[in-house]
Amino acid sequence: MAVINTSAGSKAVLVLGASAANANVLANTGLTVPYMQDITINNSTGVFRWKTLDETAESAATTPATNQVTLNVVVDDKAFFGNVSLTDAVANTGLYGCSKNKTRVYFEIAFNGRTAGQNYLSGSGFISGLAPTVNPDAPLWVTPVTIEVDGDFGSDVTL
Amino acid sequence: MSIRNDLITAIGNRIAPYSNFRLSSEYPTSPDGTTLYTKNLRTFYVDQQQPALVEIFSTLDNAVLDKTETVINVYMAHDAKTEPGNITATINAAMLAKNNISAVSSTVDVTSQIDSDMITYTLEYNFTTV
Repeated sequence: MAVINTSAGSKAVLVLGASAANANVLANTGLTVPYMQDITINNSTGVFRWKTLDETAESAATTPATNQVTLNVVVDDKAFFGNVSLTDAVANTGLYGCSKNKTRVYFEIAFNGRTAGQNYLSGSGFISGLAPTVNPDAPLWVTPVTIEVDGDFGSDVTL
Repeated sequence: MSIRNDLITAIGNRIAPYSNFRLSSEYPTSPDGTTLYTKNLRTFYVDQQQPALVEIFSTLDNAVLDKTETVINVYMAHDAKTEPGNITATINAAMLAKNNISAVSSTVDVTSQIDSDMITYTLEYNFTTV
């Protein structure tokens, strides 16, 4: 047992790619989202409840989960608008391009850095919820990002 | 160019129409501790800039995202017995010099203090840059 301490930096890592292979956290082919302020993984199941006359309490069963990844990032120009020097389609078009074009993105989220033998979550979905904002007191662009996950999360250990 | 140098240029240009006031590029205090603005009346002296780094955001990849808040004080004194002509217009012009500085945020506060037979104006400029 051990807590996962991210204070050393580069521990919580989100990599996006146009394929599962490109989103591999150990490969360097996808878009590693820089300047993340926070990241939240939502695996929220629905609940169906029913009552019967022979029970003193409700019964419950879970229904399929809504899966989302939400984060806030300080906008990096290449991550947001794309880096034309990269071949991966997601890295090439950036967060905004993927949102606008409704491109499916594959992702891996490392919990404890880009090293072998560490746990990560993976999946694919669509980017939404971009809302870049800036003001004079905090004069750097920041934006929320949501990955609406299509299907389930995968969970594995990096090799 | 430092912000102080830019401010000296801006104040000089702004107060140029008011010939009974001058601007010095020297610091307001001489090495022996004498305040030059009480010695040379109706002359603006621009103090050294005092920068402070303030973190804007912290990020999970430990990126350094700071802004610089710079404070510069400007001093000017005149004889308290006789108000010099154009004093209000000159102070206003000096305040507007903040708009000539390239910064995300520019503010200025003016305070005046009567001491013996002198009125001393202190203009505190605050500039935020990234």
